[in-house]
Amino acid sequence: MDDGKIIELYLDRSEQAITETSRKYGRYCHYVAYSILRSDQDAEECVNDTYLRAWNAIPPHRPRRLQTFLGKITRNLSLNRWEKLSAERRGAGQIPMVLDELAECVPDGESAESAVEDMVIRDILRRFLRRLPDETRRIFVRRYWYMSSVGEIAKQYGLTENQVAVTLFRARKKLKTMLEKEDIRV
Amino acid sequence: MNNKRLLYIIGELDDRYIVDAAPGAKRGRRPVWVKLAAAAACLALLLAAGIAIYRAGDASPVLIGGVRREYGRARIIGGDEAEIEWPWEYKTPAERYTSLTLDGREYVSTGRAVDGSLTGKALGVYDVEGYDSYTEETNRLRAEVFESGGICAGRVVAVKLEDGYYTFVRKESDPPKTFGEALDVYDLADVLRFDRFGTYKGLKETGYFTIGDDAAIWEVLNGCRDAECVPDEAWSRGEGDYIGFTVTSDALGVYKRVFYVSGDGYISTNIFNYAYSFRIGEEAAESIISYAVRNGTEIPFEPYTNTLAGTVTDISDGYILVDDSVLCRDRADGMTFRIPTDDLRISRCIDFRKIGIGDLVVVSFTGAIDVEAGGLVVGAYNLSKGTLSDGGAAVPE
Repeated sequence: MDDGKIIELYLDRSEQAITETSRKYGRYCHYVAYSILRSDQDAEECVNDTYLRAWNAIPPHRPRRLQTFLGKITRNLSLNRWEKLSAERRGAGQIPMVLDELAECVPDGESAESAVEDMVIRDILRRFLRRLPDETRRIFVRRYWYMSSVGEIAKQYGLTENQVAVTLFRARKKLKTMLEKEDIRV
Repeated sequence: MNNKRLLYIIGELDDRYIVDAAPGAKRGRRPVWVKLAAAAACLALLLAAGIAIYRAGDASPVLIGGVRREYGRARIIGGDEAEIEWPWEYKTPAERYTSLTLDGREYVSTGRAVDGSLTGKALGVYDVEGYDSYTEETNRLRAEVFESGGICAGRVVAVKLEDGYYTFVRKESDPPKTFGEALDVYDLADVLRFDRFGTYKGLKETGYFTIGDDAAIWEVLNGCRDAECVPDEAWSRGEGDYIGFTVTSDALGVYKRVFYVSGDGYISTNIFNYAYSFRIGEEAAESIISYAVRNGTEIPFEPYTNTLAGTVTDISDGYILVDDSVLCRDRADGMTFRIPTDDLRISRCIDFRKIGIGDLVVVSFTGAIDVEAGGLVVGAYNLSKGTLSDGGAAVPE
C-alpha cells in the first residue's frame, strides 16, 4: 500500500493504519530501534510506542514522508530508552562509541545551548552534508543517524572497515572545522 | 553532554538523506532507471559491473561501430575506468563542475553537452560547484546559465562551461501529475524523437527496429494529456507484450534512455531521471504499438556503448593506433583503428594507465567508425588495458 493511502487510513481513524504501517515499515523501525538498543524486546516496545505516537499525531499532523516520520519518532524514543537503560547500567549497542566519535566534532569551550544555536547547527549540518560526496554522506548518515556498526556499513557499501573508519574520520574533521568557523560550541 | 546534543540534532536531518542512506535503500529512485536503461541496452550491465568486455563470441561476424569484423573465439577483457575518480587536473570541465544552485533549487550535471543553438533565454550568471576529493575542497566557477530548448528552467538548464554548454537537471522535483504536464514542462514534442525501438515479450527482446516518421505516435500521445502518473509498481516489464523506444535528447541531457509503451495501457520512461509511469489506456497504447510495428524496419541491435579492442601499434601524431589482428580468425584480416588523443578522456588514460605500444586495450566510444578516414573512431571516451582470453578464463598476456 502506498504511503498516501496509509496516511488516509490514519486520517479516517481506521485501525488498519497500524497494520499497514507495521507491514510496510515494521522492519525498518525495528532496525532503527535495535541499532540503538541491541535488544529485540526493547526495540519492539519502542516500535509499538512509535505506532501509538503516529496514531496520536495523525491527524492533525500529515507527514510529508511517512518512512522518515516514523524513523525519527523511533530514533528519539529509542535514544530516550537507551538513556534510561544506561542510567540503570543496562545500556548497550553502538551509542557509547558513536558518542565518543561525535565528541571529536565538538569544538572546545562553553556551550550556549539555545534554540537559536540549535537552528544554526542544523543549518551547518545541512551545508556540511550537501557538500559531501554521495557515498561519504550515506556512510555518515548510516553511522550517526542510524547508528549502524562500522562492519555493517562496510558490508553494505562493499568497503573495508578501515575505509569506512577513515571516511568517517575525515567527515568528522570537516564538520568540526565548519562548526569552529561559525564559533559553535555544541 | 555536548556530543549527545549533536546526536539529537543529527536526528533532525533532511528526510531525503535519511531515506537515501536507509539500510538496503534503493539509493533514491536511481536504480529504477538504471534497471530500465539496462533493459534498453544490454551493455549497461557491463557498466554496472564496472567491467568492459570486448567479446568476439564463437567465431561469428560482429558489427563494431557499423563495421563488420570476422573474429575467432579469442576475446579481450578490460577493466572499465568509469568509476575512477580522476584528479582535478585530469577532469574535463563537465566532470569538474557538477552542481548548481539557482534560485534556491539544486541542479546536478548530466555530463552531456548540448549545442549552443539549442539553448534558450539567458537566466543569469551563477556559481557552479565541483568537489575535488583529492584535496577535499569545493571549487567554484561563475557560469552563464540558459534555458535548455523550450524546457521549463525549473527542471533542466544549460550551463556554459569553458568548452561548451552542458545540461544540468533539477536534483529533486515532484513527478508530473499527468502526461500532459510532462509534455508541457519538458517540451517533449520538440526535444524527443522516436526513431528506434525494440519489441518485447516479458523480459525477452524479440526484435529491434527503426522508424522514419513519429508524427502519428505524437498525435496519439497528445491525446493522452489526462493520463495520470501512477506508482512505480503499477507496471513492470516482467509480463505481457510491449515496445521500448530508445531515446536520446541533448536538450534533456539524456542518452539512450527508454520509453516503454505496453499493450495493457501504460507508458513508462526514465527520461526525467526518475522512472515515471502513466496510464494511457489500452486503446492508445495499442495504436502506438501497432503503428510502430507496421512501419518499423528491422535493424541489428545497437549496444548501449560501442567497444573495440586490439593491440596498440603506435602512439603519435595526435592518434593512438589499435590493430585487431589478434582477434581475427585470419590474422591477415586485421584492421587498424585511429583514436584521437586530443580528447582529455583518452590522453589521461594513456598517461594514468601507462599505456604503451604492444599493450592490449579496450576502447569505448559512442559514435561510429569512419572507414574512409582510415578507421577513425568517433566519440572515443575511455581506454583501458585488457587481457586476452581464448574463449575461457582471461589470461594476462
